[in-house]
Amino acid sequence: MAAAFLLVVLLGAGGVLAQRVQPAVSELNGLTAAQQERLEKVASASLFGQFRTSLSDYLWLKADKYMHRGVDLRGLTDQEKRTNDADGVSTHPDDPVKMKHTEETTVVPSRERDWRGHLGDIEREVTPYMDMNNHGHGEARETLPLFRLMTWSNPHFIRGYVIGWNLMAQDPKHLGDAEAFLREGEANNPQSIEIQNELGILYTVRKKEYDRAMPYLYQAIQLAEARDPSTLNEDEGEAWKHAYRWAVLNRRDAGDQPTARTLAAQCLKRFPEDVVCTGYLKQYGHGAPAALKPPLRQ
Amino acid sequence: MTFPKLYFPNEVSQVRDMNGNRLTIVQGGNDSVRDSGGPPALRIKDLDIAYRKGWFAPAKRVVHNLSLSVRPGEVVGFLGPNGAGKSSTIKAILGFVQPEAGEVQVFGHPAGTTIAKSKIGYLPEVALYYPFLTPIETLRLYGHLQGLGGKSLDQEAFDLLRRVGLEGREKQQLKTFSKGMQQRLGIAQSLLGSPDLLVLDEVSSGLDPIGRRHLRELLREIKNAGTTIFFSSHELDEVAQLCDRVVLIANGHVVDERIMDAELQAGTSSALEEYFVNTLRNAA
Amino acid sequence: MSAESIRRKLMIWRSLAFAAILESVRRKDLYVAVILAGLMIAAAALMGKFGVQGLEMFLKDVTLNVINLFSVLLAILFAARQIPEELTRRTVYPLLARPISRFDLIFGKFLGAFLMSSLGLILFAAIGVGALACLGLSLGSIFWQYLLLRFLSLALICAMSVMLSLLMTPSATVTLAILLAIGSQTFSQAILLAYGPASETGKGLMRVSYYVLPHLDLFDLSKKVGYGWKPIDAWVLRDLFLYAMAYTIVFLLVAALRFRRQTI
Repeated sequence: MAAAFLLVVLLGAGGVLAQRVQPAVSELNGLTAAQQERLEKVASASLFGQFRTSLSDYLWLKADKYMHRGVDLRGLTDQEKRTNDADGVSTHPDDPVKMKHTEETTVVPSRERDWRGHLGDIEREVTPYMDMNNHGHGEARETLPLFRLMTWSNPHFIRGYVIGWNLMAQDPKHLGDAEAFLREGEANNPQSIEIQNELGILYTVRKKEYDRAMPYLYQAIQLAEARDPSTLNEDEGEAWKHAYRWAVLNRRDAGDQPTARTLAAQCLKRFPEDVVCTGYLKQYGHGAPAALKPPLRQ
Repeated sequence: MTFPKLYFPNEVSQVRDMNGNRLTIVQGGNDSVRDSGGPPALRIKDLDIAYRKGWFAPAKRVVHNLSLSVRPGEVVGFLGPNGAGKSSTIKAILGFVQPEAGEVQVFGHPAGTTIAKSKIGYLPEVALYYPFLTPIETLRLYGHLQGLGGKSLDQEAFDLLRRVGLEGREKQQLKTFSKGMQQRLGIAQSLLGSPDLLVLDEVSSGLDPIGRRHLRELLREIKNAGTTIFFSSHELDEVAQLCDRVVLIANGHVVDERIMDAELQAGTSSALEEYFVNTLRNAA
Repeated sequence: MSAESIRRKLMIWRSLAFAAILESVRRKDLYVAVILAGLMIAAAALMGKFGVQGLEMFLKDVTLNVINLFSVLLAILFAARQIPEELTRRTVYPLLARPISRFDLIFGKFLGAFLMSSLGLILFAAIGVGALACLGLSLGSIFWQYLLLRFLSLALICAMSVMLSLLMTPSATVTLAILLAIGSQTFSQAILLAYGPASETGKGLMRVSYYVLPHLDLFDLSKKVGYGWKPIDAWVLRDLFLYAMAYTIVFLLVAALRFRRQTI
């Protein structure tokens, strides 16, 4: 809480919010590699780094809470998973594809599952609490300023850039802002597999600039494959797989089936059970593959 | 040599004369001592006080089997070396410590009860008051606690501040006061509400010679008005000039009591000092 | 108890409370509030100048958290020092030499701490609401319920701190009171989480500790206010009032029992 207050003061005093609260992001503010290295070698900067990391995590949780009108959620315990004895939390209970929060429950239990009697009733009244079965989410764009603050406080908070640009891009009018935001993320995190993948998705899906997207998707794949797979975290592993998928779909939609076939085959070597690449090859896998020539960025 | 006859209701006390002869106190009284026939202003019987530091630590006995009595209107000096148990006895009179045994009564009421305390004006050994309040606010606070109020309280407070020499400083915060000025304020607060019994612990502590003279004059006025005074002091000159009687304690119990006869009073502090030192030496 | 003795008690408590407040004001204890006010208003003014589109919930959340945190800290610090300071400064002697009981002293000091921290709460709330108003934001009618519950919690916190100050050292009092006041929600959540897999004995112990320890988190409507929920039902306010009063009385009685025979 104190940190959050400090944040408000910092924001106000710096006047930075003037540009940040609006999704309009028009310039890059990343550090050079040398600047980052210098920054990370200074003890005070290291402490500040810890602070900003905590702050961005805090804001991330806040954003999640805003989406649920303040209702606190938590992951299921092992026992709850085994016995299936916890209040359900889901967005689309009848649609397994759209369903979210399947392994979560509310922090405050329902009356039926609460042993605290009247005190439990009171808690359900004074804290934001509701039946979260088939719940809806708040307006995602309302949380955008928080994503802006997250990445401002911690420019290495990749998840903030990834979710933030997606939220911005929900409104086609702000696609340019979303692109600028993601590019800022790239400048701050040039080695990020996720951000390269997201840039590829942005140009493939949102802007339909297929050729422009490919260098980013290739870059994502190359960054991932240059590393020991065991060092990739869950998000990076997912981004690696998605980069293959989107590269295949990009080439498919661009009419470059030979390259798509090559990429799909390569994807299946890494991810043998990938449904997208398997499906693609079922449909388009009857021609000759092409040798991959990663294009240069435009 | 003749001694004033003293009256102790319900009990017979013994004191010694200058030559060490035991004297039985019988009914009667001197001019300044009220003989109302009521209960004594202060009655302490077989008082035992012990302090413990922690649950399992052995108790340290500081007062043992102490008995004394003070009649209404009497001025009694409570003397003894450092650590003799004077302050502990005074604390028992105010109800600040719970005795292990024995009883303490103030005008017939158990010590520490609100009715007993309503009759006492008390000056602690080290008088400290709220540093951010002014003297008049301090006296108003104690006055309200005493059950006083309104304009009469303000009038009495201003009057007391004048009497203790703090006139003109009524609205100055106490954090700027010297130790002597704080002691004067302490005396003023102890006199608030015209108590029947004044209990003063090291009354002249921190006062300069002029302050002491003022204090003596003030106490004499109070004595003449018939207020009972029970005070401890190391200033034997003061004791000699004010007291009707002295009670001497050492190691937590009374070793001697003396009526302040003309000889002792005439000789001022040197005769009393001689008595003090010799008695303690004999007791040891 | 006669009307006269009630009048006298009220006079004693009022005088003790007034002295505590007066001293606290002159010690400039509330300066922290003024400094905070300056910072918040400056921040709000700057943010208001540039616009806060989309940050409404966040600003409300932060503002209410600041109000909660600072008012609780002030209450604990005020209340925890009342009696120990009397003892260390030896101002307790002339006080207790007056015809008042030790409970009177405890209650008067509690009252002073409660009124002072309430004053702090009002000040913080005014600053917070003012800062939000500068940004064109309002908190809705549930905010008044939030304030009422905060006042109740301050009574409980002050009584708890006064009691703890008679049982332990001042620093331990402050630490424990802060843990109980601010960690209350975490404690509740931890017990709820640990209850399921616990053994029957463990469950029994958890139930006892849950019901015995005061739940100050129940007096916090800030999340509902921040997220724009509707006002709560009157029965909740009534029950929480009774809950706060019960704990306040118990704490003050424990304090009085502890202090009753304490050598000073």
